[in-house]
Order: sequence, then structure tokens, then C-alpha cells
Amino acid sequence: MSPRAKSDPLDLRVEQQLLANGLRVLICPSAAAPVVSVQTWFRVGSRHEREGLTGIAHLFEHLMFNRTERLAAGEFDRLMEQAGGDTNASTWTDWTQYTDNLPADRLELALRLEAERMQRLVLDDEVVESEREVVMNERRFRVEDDVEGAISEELYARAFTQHPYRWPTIGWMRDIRAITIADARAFYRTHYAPNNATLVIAGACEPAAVLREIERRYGRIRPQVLPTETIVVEPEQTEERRATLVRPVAAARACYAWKAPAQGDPDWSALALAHTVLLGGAAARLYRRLVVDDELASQVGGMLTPFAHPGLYELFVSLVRGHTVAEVEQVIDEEVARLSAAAPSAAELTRARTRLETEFCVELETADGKAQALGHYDATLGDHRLLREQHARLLAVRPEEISRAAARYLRKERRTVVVAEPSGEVVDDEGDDA
Amino acid sequence: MILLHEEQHEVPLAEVSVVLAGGAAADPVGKEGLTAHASELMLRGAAGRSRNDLDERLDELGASLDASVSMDAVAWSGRCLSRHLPALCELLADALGRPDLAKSEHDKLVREELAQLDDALDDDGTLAARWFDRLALAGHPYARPSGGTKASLASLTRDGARAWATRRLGQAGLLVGFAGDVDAGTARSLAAGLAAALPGRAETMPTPGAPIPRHGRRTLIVDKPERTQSQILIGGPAPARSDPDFIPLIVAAAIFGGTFTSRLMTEVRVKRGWSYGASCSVGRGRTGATTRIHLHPSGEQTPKAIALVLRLWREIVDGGVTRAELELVRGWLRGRWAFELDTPGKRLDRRIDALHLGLPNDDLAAFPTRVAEVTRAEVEAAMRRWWHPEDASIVVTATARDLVPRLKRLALGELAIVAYDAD
Repeated sequence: MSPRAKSDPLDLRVEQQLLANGLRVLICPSAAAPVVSVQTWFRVGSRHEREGLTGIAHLFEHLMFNRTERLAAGEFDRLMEQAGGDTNASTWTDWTQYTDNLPADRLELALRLEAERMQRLVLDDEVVESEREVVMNERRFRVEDDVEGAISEELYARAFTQHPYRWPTIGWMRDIRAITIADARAFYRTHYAPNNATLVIAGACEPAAVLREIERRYGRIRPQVLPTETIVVEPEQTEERRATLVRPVAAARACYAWKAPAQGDPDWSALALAHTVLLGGAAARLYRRLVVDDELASQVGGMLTPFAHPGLYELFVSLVRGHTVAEVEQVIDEEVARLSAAAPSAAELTRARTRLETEFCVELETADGKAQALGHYDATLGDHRLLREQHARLLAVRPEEISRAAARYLRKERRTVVVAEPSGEVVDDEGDDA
Repeated sequence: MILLHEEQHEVPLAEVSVVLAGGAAADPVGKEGLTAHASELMLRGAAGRSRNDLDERLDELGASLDASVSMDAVAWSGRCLSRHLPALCELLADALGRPDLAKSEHDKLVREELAQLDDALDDDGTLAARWFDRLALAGHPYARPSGGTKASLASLTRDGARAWATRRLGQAGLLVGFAGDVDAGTARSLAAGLAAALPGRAETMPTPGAPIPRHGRRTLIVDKPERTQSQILIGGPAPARSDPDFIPLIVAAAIFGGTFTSRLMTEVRVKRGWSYGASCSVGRGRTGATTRIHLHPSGEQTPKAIALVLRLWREIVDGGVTRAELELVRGWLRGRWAFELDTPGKRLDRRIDALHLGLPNDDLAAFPTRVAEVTRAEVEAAMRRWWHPEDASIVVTATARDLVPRLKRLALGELAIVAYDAD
């Protein structure tokens, strides 16, 4: 468009450093806006939990916002807010991450506070009890009273029989109730160590100066002996699994999920392209049939899980009142069979690639987006450079690879289906039935 | 035509917006949803291209193109890789200048909109918000749902949509904006092409008056089965964005429930663990808006949570704010302003908003200074003028059966119940 435009949006400059205590540091300078995003990615998520202690990674994320040896209760947030910063955190299957977005001239504050809570968090009964109540209310909000959350929870519990991906990241209600302060202290000692974390800074900063400050703030934090993870291999699924929930919904909702490769698997990119051909845009095959032409669904979406271990390709459908799951399923089966049997056209492939290219630029537009992307690849796949490599791989996928991936992965015997049907009937309580 | 341009070349993305003053507030009574419907219908086939043809072309460009409607304006906005911007603008010019507005697409869109109303029934927070404006701003055009109701959508016709387009589309009052990887010369040329697609004249929409405050509390239970918690909104009318009280009131809202260390979060979440979130915000409208306090406690904790929030609200209005609270929030609002403007698209949106909300040209640049200058006296005076807990409108999405007897013990004024799937 303009001679000043960069031809390659992936031209990210990333400075990488490994401190002596094992802390990985990634710095991505950008002069686009006078802001920085400071993100700490711990390589611990719900897959590192065990039965009976589900939800502890997420509950712990809440506990990290409380007092430390040098900061009174509420001081962390107060100092961040006074500086114009916004803080947040999230937990998923493979990681827990903490975000501080703040004006660029307050970067040092974020490093000081994050280094403090990485090494000197104080846990007491009062804090654990209060956050337990908050998390139980969060679970009611996200699962018990939310049909999509309820379906997702049921789906993973059915799709996985052995792997820790079978329990929800927020945890079963009975386990949230049972977590003790001793559990929380052990979790902190075990997983919140510099050698289990990556610090990502993106935005308006000078890398050499930032690295000096990081060395000063984090350099003396002692590493821990990290537990060796026993990798659970989920047995091959050999037949379709189905479940029906009854909820007060206006029209049925359904989720179809096939076992899918891990994000680091070479097939992941081909399946991501298959997803884009099926659902990436208003002209995509499934969207057009289900929403536009046949008017069976009001919404349809999908996600190929970006997990470290083999996950799911999920397809979520909100039905239009008066139509049946069987009608929707017939269309899905027909379109999956068509994609498995024949490669997409050149025009479809061009559309899919252009959409992926656009989405990639949107994802990397802000400092927060850059830090999120780098942190995710580092925490999940062990190397931030795979962000660029995987994007290049996506754009290079050949048409026949797409149909081959659809034929291999989108088979009925690899599928789990959960449907929520409308009813006014009272159903089970608080999700403890998995 | 007014042209706004925010140039930045960090990422090869470009955005275009075409905006007209006058939004859903101008929909006739009984025809709620007309602006949203007609503006979307224009994207469902134009200049000899069917809807499917348009969708395919947009996908070829990797572009988005959407219509959006607020109470005060209607906008068509698109985003794409900057190399595709001229092609996207051609599609947009066709949609605005030569829309098909076909009967078959009109009928299909009405069915889609009805299905979207069904989908909204599944989200308890959306349900509460839908009823809150009706309760708090009763009688004012801002109280009417911009997406329509089942009855109003059923009454829309293709001819009505055509009449809307004929009346509203024109170069007069047109605002065109570009953001991102697009230089000034290209922006001017593309804007001229978009304007040329439209006729010269358009009808100017009247600006609604300010909402009239209601007296006495009133409570509406949106009754939905099987709820384990309640989605609660409490509040009332707020000033127009251009009102001198607006900035002092957003400072007050931030102190009361805008930050993690605010009074609401401290008392409701941190001390008691009653709700995952507890917040207070002030909306932005040309002639008025609402203050909204939001929380979602369990069903068991709902009555005491409402009582606590009303008491805290009374206390801040009567007792004022502390110097420390004011200092903290001024720093927070000024610092986070950088994130409101950290992409060219956000800066363009803010400038468009400023024009439609009747703000001075320097509003974007002056905002941090204005916040820094707000005094305790201004904050407290604005609270006294606009916050009246004894006149609060309260909406609770919950299962009514067990809750109503317990709520009746609180002084919540007239208490009504509506089924969650009522129109």
C-alpha cells in the first residue's frame, strides 16, 4: 500500500537470554506505541495436576495477587494501578501466565513486583479461603450457568480417558473445595521457580537496559529441582462417544470434537488449514451450508487446540430453533467426507492462506499480542522461534496435505459429540459428576 | 464529507470506516432494529454480486466488512492486509451505493436476527443488560433495544429497509476514516471514491433529548430456571459524554468499581469472595447514558450482596472520596489512556466517537490533562448530581422462585418478574 509498509509482518526482532538460574528472557522491542507488555509464563497448567487436586493451578493464579514478604495485601495491584497499568492472568492446560500492560516508562515497576512475587509470596488460610470462594463463583459463572462451558467440560471428560486434559482447568467443584494451604505452598515451591518460567517483554523498550534490570531483579532467585513429568499417552479412540445434557436453552447446541495432533506435530498445520477451509470466513464450506444456505445454525465456530500434547479439533454449533442435531450432523458428515476425499480448490487455498496471513498480522499488532504469541510458543513448544516457523509452514501447506489430514483425523471413531438440548427440567448439580 | 486518517506502518494492515450520525435511537417505535437490519442488509448483495459472491470476494481478500449500530451512529467498517484496501473499498462503495436489498435476503436476515435473539437468551449477563436499559431509561429512545425485539423484527419489511437506505445514505454528514498502513494521498483518493458512490443529500436524524431521571427504586427479576448464581446490574441515568460532569463521574466510577483495588472489588470479592467480579462503569452517549454496577454472586449470596452494594453506593455519595483514592485513579486513567490509543484503528475509533458525541477537536489530546485536573470537589458534586441509590434501577437474572421472598425483605422498591424469554 505504501512504500513505508513492511513487506514481512514477521520481521520481529527478539532478543533472547538465559539467566544463570534458568529464567528464559525474550525481549521484542517495538516503537509502535509508548507502552510495554510484561508477561511471565510458567510452564505449569492443569495437565500437571492430579486427580483429587484439580483446579490448583488456576486457584494458585488467584493467590499470586496477594501479599508478599515486602508488599502488603493489595499493594501489588495498587502500585500497578497508580502507574496506569492493567494486570491480568490466565491458566490453561499447559501453562499459567501473568500479564502487566503499562506505560513504557513504568516497565521497571513491573519487573520489581513480578520478581518479588516469584520468590516471596506469603500464603495464609484467610487468603486461600477468600480466593476459594471467588473461584467457586467463577466456576458457577463459567460452567454451571454457562451452556458452552458445561458442554466443553463434558466433552473433555468424555474425549480423554487417561490424559490429564480430561479434567477442566478450573477444576472440579469438589476438588476446589478440598485444596489446602499445604497444597498451595507445595505447588508454589515446586512450580514457581525461575527455571520453570519465561519472562517476555514486548513494546517500547531498549533491550540492553531491560536485560540489565532483569538480571538485577531476578538474577538471585534460586532455581528449584523441577519434577519430572510422566507423559500420559491417551489410548487411541476406536469408537464415537456421545453425551446429551439438558439445559434451559432456547435451541440446541452441539459440539463435535475429533482427536487432533499436538501443536508441534507436522500434521497440525495441515489440519489448521482444513479448519480454515471448513470455517474460516463466510464463504467457507461449513459456514456457508449451515448458516447461509440451509439456515440450520445461527452460529458455528471451531478451534484446533494449541496444546503441547495431542488435543482436539472442536466444532461448535448453535442450532436455529426448530432444526435438529441430526440435520446438522448430516451436513458436517458430508462436508468432512468431501474434504477427506478431494483436495480443496486453488481458490479455496488462496482464501485460506490470505485469511491466516491477515489474522497473524492482527494477532501481532499490539505489544500485548506480540508477548502473548511469543510466550505461548515458548511455554507450549519450548521455542519462541516456532511462531515464525509454524506460520511459514501454514502458508506452505499443499492442497493434498489438507485432504490427507482430514481423512486421517476427522474420522467418526475419533469423534466425541456433546449436545445440549432445551428443557425446563432440573439437572445435576455443580458439575461433580464427571 | 469529513475524512479522518490515522497513519502507521508497523503492521501491513489497513482499516476503513464509513459512519453516519444517527443510530438505533432514531428507529421508529415498534420498528426497533430497523437501522441494524437495513445497514446489514446492504452487505447482503450489491452491484450484481449476490451475497455469496460478496462473501467469496471478501474471503479472497482475507477481509472483514461489518455493519455496526450504536444509539448515536451507524458504521460500516472493514479491515484487511493493506495491499487489498482498494479492492475492499470497491466492495464497500458498491454496498453503500448500489445495494440489492433483495426480498429473499431481507427475509433470511430477519430469520437470522430472530435466531440471534434466541442465542442471547443463553447468556445471563446479556439478558440482564438487555432489560437494564429498558428499566433505567424507560421512555427514552436509548432504552429501546438496538437489535430489535421478536415483535419489531417481524414487522420490518424490505420496503422499509429500502426507504431507510434512501433516506439515510448520502454525502452530507458522511464521515470516512482510514487507519493503519495507508498514506494520506491514498486515503483521500479512496475516500473520494466512497463518497462518489452515494447521492448528495441525506436526511439528518434528530438528536434525542436527555433521559429523564426516575424516582424511587424498582427491581426486575429476569426469571430463568436452574441458575446457581445471579447476574446483577444496579444503576441509573448518567450524563452525556460532553457534559462537564462526565469526567468527574468516570473518576468516581473508577474509585468505586473500576480497578482491582476499588471499593466494590475490595468489599465484594477480596474480603468476602462473593463474586468473581464487581465493577462500576459509566456509559458514553451523545445525550446521556447509564451508570452500571455489575456483580454476579451465587443465588444464596444475592440478597446480602445487593444490600451491601447499595450501602457502599450510599456511603461513597454521602462520604465522598479520599485524596489517596483520587490520586490513584487519576494515575490509572492517565496511564491506561495510552492503551486506548495504541493502534491506529483504536485512535480512529476514538476520533469518530468524539465527533458523534459532540466533543471538541482536542478531546483525545486533552483527556489525560483533564483527568489530572479533576478535583475531589468536582467528583463529589458529580456523584451527588447523578448517583441516587434511593432511585436505583435493579435487574437480576436469576431463578425467581427462591430469591423473591428474600429480596422482598430488602427495600428494593417495586419488584416485578419477567420470564427470561419474554420479548
